[in-house]
Amino acid sequence: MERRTRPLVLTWLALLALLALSASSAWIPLGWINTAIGLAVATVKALLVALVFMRLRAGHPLLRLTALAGLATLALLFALSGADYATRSEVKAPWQQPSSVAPRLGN
Amino acid sequence: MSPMNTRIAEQFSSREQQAFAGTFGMWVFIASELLFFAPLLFGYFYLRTHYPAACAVASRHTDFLLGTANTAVLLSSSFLMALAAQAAEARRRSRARWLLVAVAALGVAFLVIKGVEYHAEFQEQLFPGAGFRSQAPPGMELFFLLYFALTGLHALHLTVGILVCLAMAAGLRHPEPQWPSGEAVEFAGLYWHFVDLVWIFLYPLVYLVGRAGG
Repeated sequence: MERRTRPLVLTWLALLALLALSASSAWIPLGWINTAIGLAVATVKALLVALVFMRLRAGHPLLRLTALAGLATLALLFALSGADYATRSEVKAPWQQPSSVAPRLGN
Repeated sequence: MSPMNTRIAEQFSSREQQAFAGTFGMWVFIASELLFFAPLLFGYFYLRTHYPAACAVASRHTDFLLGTANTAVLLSSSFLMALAAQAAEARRRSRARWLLVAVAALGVAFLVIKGVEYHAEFQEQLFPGAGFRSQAPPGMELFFLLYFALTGLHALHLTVGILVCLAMAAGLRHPEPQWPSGEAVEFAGLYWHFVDLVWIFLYPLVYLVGRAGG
């Protein structure tokens, strides 16, 4: 194996091992921890892809800042929209077919 | 390495500067692509926080084995893409060309597997709309709306990636000064890896909810 391809091969094997970890751990009943494990493993996989395959680790700091700016904007939008949904209760109302309500004309 | 210097666009003072501007531009594009997916991801966040039980029921209707296999296919395609970018950078154009063809083939394999899943879900009346199964808990239809929107948008991105790979593989048949340069393959690689990143997060959110019951 060439010296330059070794980190790529190792990253690929690590990604497949992490996939096996997240796929198998999902079948163990742990409640909300299942979701936490799934997202944690996904984050590690994403970091491997971004740092090695996308060369963020070796790249200029400006590129890492750009990626972080995207993530920060995403977090901002989630926080603002989430605040809206978290502070309002949903009023359940039966769905009414338009034809079931008599039209009110005049007066 | 001087013959390539003739191909610097006039606004750049060096080849390095031109390459960096391209990479930076790709990253800005990728950040905006993330925000393109953001509303659907927020819709999913709303669904998970408001209808957790329906989410688990709906997720158990997705195909765990095909979803896992597809994740492995996409992760492997990213690995081959990283190899292709490295080969193109080292000006091994023939090697880069065949790696790009392999990347495109894995991309097509992903779409075929996804199509098999879609077909089964249509058969099981899981496509949102008037024909959606009648005894589903509230929230399940929204899950499948987001499922089809997110995976559909992802598949659209992947299709673009496959076409770019094939176009570059065709261009790489010609010798050096011809398009694509090593940097161009690197830019295509960044896009491909981003599409992979989206799937890495979709996998646990779509396929792994409530697998252990409850």
